[in-house]
Amino acid sequence: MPARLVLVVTVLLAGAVPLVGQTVRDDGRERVVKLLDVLKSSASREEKQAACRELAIVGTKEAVPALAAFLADPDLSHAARYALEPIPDPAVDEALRKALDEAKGRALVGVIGSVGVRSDAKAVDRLARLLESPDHEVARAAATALGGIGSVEAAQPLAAALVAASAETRLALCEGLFRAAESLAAAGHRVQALAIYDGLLKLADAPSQVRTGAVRGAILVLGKDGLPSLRRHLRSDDDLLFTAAVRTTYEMPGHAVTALLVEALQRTDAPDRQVLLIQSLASRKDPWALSKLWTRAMAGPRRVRSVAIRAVAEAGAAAMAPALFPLLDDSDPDLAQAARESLAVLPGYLAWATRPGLSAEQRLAICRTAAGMVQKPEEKRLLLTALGGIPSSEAIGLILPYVNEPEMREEAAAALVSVAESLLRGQNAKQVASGLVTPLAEVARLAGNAEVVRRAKAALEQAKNQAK
Amino acid sequence: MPYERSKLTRRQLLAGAAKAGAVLAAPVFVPGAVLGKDGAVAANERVTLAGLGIGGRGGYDLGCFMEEPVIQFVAIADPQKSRREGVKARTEKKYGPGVTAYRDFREMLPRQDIDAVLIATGDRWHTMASICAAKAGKDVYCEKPSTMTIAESLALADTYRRYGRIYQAGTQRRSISNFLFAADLCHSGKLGKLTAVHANTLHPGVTHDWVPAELEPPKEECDWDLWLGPCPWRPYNSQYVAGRWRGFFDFHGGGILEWGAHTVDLCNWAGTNDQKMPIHYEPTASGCIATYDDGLKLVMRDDGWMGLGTCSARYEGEDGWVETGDSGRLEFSSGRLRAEQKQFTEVGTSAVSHIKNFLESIKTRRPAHSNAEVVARSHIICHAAYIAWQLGRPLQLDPVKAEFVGDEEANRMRSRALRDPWRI
Repeated sequence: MPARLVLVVTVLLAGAVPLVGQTVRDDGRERVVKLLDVLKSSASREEKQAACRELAIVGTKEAVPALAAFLADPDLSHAARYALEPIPDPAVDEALRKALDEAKGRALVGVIGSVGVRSDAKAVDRLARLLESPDHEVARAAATALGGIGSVEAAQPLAAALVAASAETRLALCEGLFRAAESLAAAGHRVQALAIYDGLLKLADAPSQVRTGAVRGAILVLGKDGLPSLRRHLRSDDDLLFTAAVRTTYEMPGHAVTALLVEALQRTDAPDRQVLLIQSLASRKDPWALSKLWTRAMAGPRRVRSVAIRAVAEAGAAAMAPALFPLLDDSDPDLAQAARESLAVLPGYLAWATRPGLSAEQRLAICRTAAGMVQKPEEKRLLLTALGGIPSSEAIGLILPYVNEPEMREEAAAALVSVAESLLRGQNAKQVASGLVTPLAEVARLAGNAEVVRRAKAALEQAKNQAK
Repeated sequence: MPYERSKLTRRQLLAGAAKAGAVLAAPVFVPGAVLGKDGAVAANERVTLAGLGIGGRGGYDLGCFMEEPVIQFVAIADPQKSRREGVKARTEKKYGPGVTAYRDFREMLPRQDIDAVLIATGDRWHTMASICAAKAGKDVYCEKPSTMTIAESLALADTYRRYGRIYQAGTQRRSISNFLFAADLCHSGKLGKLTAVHANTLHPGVTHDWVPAELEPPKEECDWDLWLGPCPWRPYNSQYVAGRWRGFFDFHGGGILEWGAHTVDLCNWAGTNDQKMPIHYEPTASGCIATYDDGLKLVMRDDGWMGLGTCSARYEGEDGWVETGDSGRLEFSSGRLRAEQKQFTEVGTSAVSHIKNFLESIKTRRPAHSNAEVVARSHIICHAAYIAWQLGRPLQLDPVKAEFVGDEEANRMRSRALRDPWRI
C-alpha cells in the first residue's frame, strides 16, 4: 500500500468517533427501552438502523415484539433481523417463524436466512413448504436454512425436493443436504449422513463440485471404516472420483491410508494418476512410502519421474539421496535439474560431494548446484574440500572466487593447488595447462601458507612448461 | 515453458519443502508434451479466469495473471459499468474480442467454461463472493481480507473443504522471500523457543456514520443495491464506489484486520505453523495482546516498528529475534542470525509467486499457501482481537469452537445478519 494511502487510512481510522463498542456498556434495560423508543418514533431510517445495531448487542426478550414488527417491512426488515438474530431467546424464533407466513419477496428471503442461522428446528415444516415456492430465491433460501438446521427431519424434505428439482434450485438443495449431512455426522448419525452422501453421488448429472464433495463426505464420515470406500474410489475409472479421493487423503493421516495410496500407485499406469498419487504420498513424509513410490515412478514416463524426484525433496528424505545421484548425469536436462534441486534441499546434501563411491562428475554436479547456494563459512569450507578432490577445470573455476575472499582464501588456495596438481599429472595435462596459469599465479600471489605458496609456484612452472 | 521452472534459491527450495509441495511439486500436466504449436499453451491446459470487482489492487493482480501463459481471461463482473468496461477493454487487447462483461456476477458464475475467479471487490464482498464461486465449482483467488466476522471465517473454511475447491487469499507475503526466511528462522529453531510474535496492525477504530446521500445513478451505470450486497442499506454516495469505503464499520473489518490479514497471518504461521489460535485476548489502546495456550504472545500494535516498511512482523525467541517488512530488509538481534541472510529480490507487495502457487494448486488440487483453513484461523484471531478492543475488556476464546467463553456480548459480535437475499 503506498505510504500516502497508509497515512490517509490511519488518520481516517484514528479519528473516527464514536468508536464502535463504546455505546454498549450503558445499563441494560434502560438502554433497551430508549432504543425501542427510537424504533417506535418517527426517527430517520439511519437512526432506526443505528438503534437496531445496538440492540444486536444489548437487546433482550423485551425488544423482540418491537423488532418483529419490522420483519415484513422492506426498508427495515434487515435492520430488525440484524438485531434479532444474535439475541439468544426463543421469543426470537417464534417471531421469525411467524414472519415466514407474513413477509414477502426479499424480506421473506431474509427471514428464512435468519431462521437457518438460528437453526430453528420448529421451523422445518414451514421451510419444507417454502421449498416449493415459485420464487426460486425463496426456495433456495429455504434449502439452505433446512441444511443449517441439519436434523433428520430437515434433511428429508431436501432429499425429496431434489428428485424433481429445477435447474434454479438444484445446487441449493445439494448445499442444504451437504450441511445436513455434516450436522448429522457431527451428532454421531453416521448412517444418515452417509445415505445423504451416497444420494448426492448417485445424482444424475451432478456438477463436479457436488460429486467431489460427496466422495469426500462419504469417505470421511465413516472414519477408519471409510477405508474401503477410499480404496473403491482410488480404483474408480472415473477421473473425478479418483481425484476427489486423492484430495481427501490430505485430510486422512495414518499408515493405512498411505498403504492404500501406494497400492493405487502400483495398480495404475496412467501418468496423470501417478502424479497425483505421488504428490499425496510425498506430503505424508513416510520413508516406506517413498521407497515404494520411487521404484514405481522411475519406471514411468518423464513427467512422473520428475514429480517423484521432487517428492524426495518435499519429504526431506535424506536417505534417498543416493537414488538421486545417478540422475545428476541424466540425459534429460529437466530431470537432472530436478535431481540437483532436490538434492540441494536434503539435509547434509553437501557432505555427499565428499563421499567416495560417487564419480567425479556426480560430485562436481552436486558442487555446481551448491556453489550458488552456500552461505555459511562452514558450508563454503565443505564445498572447497569437495572441489579439492575433483580433478576438473570446472572445479578450478568454482574455487577461484573464494581465493579472493579473505575468510576462505587459505582453504581455497589449498583446494585449487590440489586440483591443479591432479590435472597436471593427468593424461590431458597439455590441454588444460594453459588454463591453470592465471589461477595458480593468483594463489602464489595471495596465499599466506608458505607450503601452499611453494606448491603453487611449482605447479605454475609446470603448467607454463606444459602450455608451451 | 512450465511456470515452475524458475531458478530457485536454496531458501526458496527449503521453504518449498516445508510446505505442502507448493514450490517443488510439478503440476499434473508438465509442458513439453502438451505445448501447442509455437509454444502456446494447449487449449486443454489453459486456466480460464474470470474477474469479480477489479479495481486498483485487483488491476495489479490481473496484470500478474495475464503474464501467465496458462491463463485465458474470459469474463468480468462489476456493478460499476466503468470498471467492467475498463477490464474488458484491457483484457481484450491481449486475449482478443469476446471477454464478456456482466453487471451481476450471478449471471457469470454458472458458466461451465470458467475454471477460476479473481475476486478483488471491497472487503464486504469477499466472503460471499468466494462462497458463491465455490458453490458454482470455481477455484478462487480472493484479495484480503478474506472475511469480516468469525462466522464468515468458519463458513469460508467449511465451504472450501466441502466442495474441494482451491482457495488462495491475497496474503502474498506468505510467498515472499524475506517473510519466508523470517518464518523459517522460527520453524528451524534458530530463534530458540519463541516468546512473542509481533504483528504490525492499524488503529482499529471505524465509524458508523453515513456520508450525505447523492442521487443514485441508473442501475446499469452503478448497481448500488448490488454494490452494497450483504451490508446494511445506506444511501448512495460516489465516495464509496470510488474506493473510499475503508473506515466504515459496515464495509470494513477495522484496522487490526486491515494489515492483520497479512501480519497476524504471518505471525500465526511463524509461531504455530498455522496449527493454533490464541485463547486469551487483552485489548490495548490501539491493538491487542493475545496469548496462546503455551504462553506465546501475539502482539498486535500499530507503533514501535523499526522502519522496515509496511506490514512489518517481528519474531522473538530465547535465542534472538528478527524483524522484517515490505522493504525486504531484515534486522536481527545478532550477527549469527544475520549470517543466515541472503539477498532477496522480491518485495512484500509482489503477488507473482503467490499467483503461481495458486495456479499450481489448481492443477495439483493441493492446498495453496494461503488456503481457506489457514486464513480462517488468522482472521478469527483478528476478529477476536477487534471484538476485545471494541468491548474494552479481556476475552477468552475456545479455539475449537471459535466461541468466547462466558461472554454473551462478545459472542453476539461473532456474526452480522446479512442483508437479503444474501446468506452464507
